[in-house]
Amino acid sequence: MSTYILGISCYYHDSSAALLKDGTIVAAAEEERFTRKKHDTSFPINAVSFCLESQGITIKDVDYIGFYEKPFLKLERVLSQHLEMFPYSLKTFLGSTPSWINEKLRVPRIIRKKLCYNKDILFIEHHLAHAASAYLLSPFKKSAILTVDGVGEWTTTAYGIGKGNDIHLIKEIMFPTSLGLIYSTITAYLGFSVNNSEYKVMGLSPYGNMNRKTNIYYQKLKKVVDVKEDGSYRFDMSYFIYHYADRMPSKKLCRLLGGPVRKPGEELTQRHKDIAAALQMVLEDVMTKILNHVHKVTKQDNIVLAGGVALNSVYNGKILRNTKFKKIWIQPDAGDGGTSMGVASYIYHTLLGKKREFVLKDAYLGPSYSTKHIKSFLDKNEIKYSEFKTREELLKTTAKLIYENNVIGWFQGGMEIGPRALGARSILSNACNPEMKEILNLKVKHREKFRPFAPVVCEDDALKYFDCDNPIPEATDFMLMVYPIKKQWRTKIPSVTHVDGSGRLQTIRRGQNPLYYDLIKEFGRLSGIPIIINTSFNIRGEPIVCTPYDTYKCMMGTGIDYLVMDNFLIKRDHNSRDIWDSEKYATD
Amino acid sequence: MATKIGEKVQNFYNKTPFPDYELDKFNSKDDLVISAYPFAKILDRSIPQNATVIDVGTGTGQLSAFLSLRRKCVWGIDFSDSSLNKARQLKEKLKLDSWHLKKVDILDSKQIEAIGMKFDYVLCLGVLHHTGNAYGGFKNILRLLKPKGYIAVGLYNKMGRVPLKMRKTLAKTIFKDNNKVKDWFIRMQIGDVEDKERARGWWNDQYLHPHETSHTIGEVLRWFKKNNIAYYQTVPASTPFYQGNLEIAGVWNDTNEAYPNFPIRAYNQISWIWKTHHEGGYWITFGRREN
Repeated sequence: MSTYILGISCYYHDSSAALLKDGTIVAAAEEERFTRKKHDTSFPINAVSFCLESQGITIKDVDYIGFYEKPFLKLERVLSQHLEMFPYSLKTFLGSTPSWINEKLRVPRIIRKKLCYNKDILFIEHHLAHAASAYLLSPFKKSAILTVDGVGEWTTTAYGIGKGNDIHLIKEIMFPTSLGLIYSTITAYLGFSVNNSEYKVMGLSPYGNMNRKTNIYYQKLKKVVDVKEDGSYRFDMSYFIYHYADRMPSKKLCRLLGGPVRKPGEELTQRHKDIAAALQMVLEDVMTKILNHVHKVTKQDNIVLAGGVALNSVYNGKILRNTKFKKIWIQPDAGDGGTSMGVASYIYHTLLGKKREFVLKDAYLGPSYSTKHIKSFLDKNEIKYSEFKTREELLKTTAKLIYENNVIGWFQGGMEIGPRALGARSILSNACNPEMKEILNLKVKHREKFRPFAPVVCEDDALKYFDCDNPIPEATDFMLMVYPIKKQWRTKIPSVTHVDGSGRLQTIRRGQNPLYYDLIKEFGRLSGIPIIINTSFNIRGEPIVCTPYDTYKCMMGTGIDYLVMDNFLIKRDHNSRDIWDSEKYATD
Repeated sequence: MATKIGEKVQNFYNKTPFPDYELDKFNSKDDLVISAYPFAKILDRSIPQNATVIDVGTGTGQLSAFLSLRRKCVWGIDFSDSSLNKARQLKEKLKLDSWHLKKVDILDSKQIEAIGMKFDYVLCLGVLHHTGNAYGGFKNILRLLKPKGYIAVGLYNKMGRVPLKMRKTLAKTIFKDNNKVKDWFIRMQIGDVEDKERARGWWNDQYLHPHETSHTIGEVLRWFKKNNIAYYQTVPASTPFYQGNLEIAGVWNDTNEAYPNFPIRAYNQISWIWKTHHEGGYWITFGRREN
């Protein structure tokens, strides 16, 4: 009999579920993909249902359920922070009380009731779940571990060491001091949404003054953050109010940064860009000090990272250059969504002591649909399509369409876990066309002009075009590392070259996704440069598509020219748009 | 089934195989998966892969064919030659080697014994209420169930069936010649279908069947008790306000549903008048042999 363990993460942001079968993560997905509500916090009933269905089992086959944090410990923190800041905290406290009473404190009951489950439910600390998701899924048998996020129960930053099956967290920094929350505070200050748009601030930073000596906001932020040589840090909390109010930047912080909070949609000035740059530099300073200290204490060559801050791909790309670590691994869903995989692995390997054999090599753990299923969907909805006769034909036609500057929707195999589209639910286009960024923004993405598009390149070609670490870390496969593009290529792939000459590349190994790999090679044969733009298959503000229905609907609502769905080619212009204005015509 | 009812029912199914389908629709095993009903998928996930299963009254066999895809031994038995012939054609076409078909009359205990093996799971869905001796049939099929084996019995409910009986009367009298109303009635039950053979099969089964009985939850619970079968659950649920998710919990999951005592089951069966009228008052009871 196989051992099944279900990991669940919910009620904060990015609810998710993951299923582990005999040590292997066999299915994982975020709830937002099913409910179509970005960063959905609700109980991941659809994700659980998918995980079980994918293995042809029901809940009674599941041996353990793991939850990604300890609710009572978290409540202790929430109560003490509100008591400490009473009466300022009263409004926030009253606002958050219903969700504590109805959901967060009743997690075991909700799990049992919603899932009709009667075996053990195990709760592990939030940062331990992060650490487990980073270390136990990595290829390392021994490694230093660093987790940095907004806040778990009390912990905001923790480091430790993983050996064999065991994880030992050595030291931690506690709330309210939090590198994640300062990043979120400045994100809010710059007019972007918290727990969502931190990556936009990261993308904005190269437009600002990246000189530590001349960026005045860097000097100002340094006053707020006191970092010691061992990387421990603390904030002057008079600049923040996130520990007792919803609105994150305080008036004092606004005064320090020389203006009020930017309203969404307001023009981004050079001051905003400089603040984003200053923030990125402060984060990098603190992280470098922490990592150097972690190396000194753990004496390990390997480092694994998790937590929302580990999604800061700009800094990730600098870690091996700025610290003494020799190898790095980050899992594709390093934020809270990935903790469901972490808690399931922790139960199996650390608590049950079962041998580690699994390494998370790709992120295609979500729902997949058979050719028959997709054909029946297309036929039922009277969608006009053509079918590729051979794999060669699919590759040649798609590469040619990309080369001819069409925007291609690419739907193949299992959906990715984590915030990045990695070649299963992607929009692909020609990276060599200087106009492509504008075309993509105009036709599909409608996103801020400053945000770059990401290149995808075959792993064996990456060193030719990018100034990557050598050997290329596996984290690059998950689009989690930003590296400089080599100078001679910057003008040849302008659409994916960021203002500072860098690119947030995805490397692809043939074993991970042969069709995607061969497509890029085929495109290379046509264009001379085997690099394609890969952006997520969604429109701004929506989660990445999941089902054939979501995908087709997204295409028809945008300017995507062609959709390559499994073995079928669908041209948008060949299909009537009106019927897809209403969901009632669609079935899936 | 030597009785008059048995002969009538047998002739009926020989003329109109049920649930029937166009054989051309199934060109690969994938087609079976795609066309499987959601509940068939739930059953499939609830039954372990190494279990032996028998579908009693399998008819043209979609359910047992689908269950055989992931299992080494699934049987389908029925007493209608023409239904079984269609099933055999499907078996041959899709090369379903683990699917075994046999003509058996479930009221004949000798024929049941002649199968010569016992099963981990016995499914008898929508069959006993057409036999004229539902309890006799139930006792006979228990001969196929292993000790600690699981059973599912699907029947028409006395209360839940009332609206369909009313529709049936209307279809035979006032709307005798009104095909539009008849279409509407059958669409109410199975939704819009392109497969006309299937729609006709359902119409025949629900509106023109020569014999049917309806039963109560209490009746089935008494059958279970007399024969040492532990009660697990019913679908739809017998517990008021029960919000379990079948897709996750599956069936034969004994975690949440309380035993339906008389007031509870009386309340539920009344609510089934409107809750289950689309399905013609059909419900399934799940249990497990205790020894």
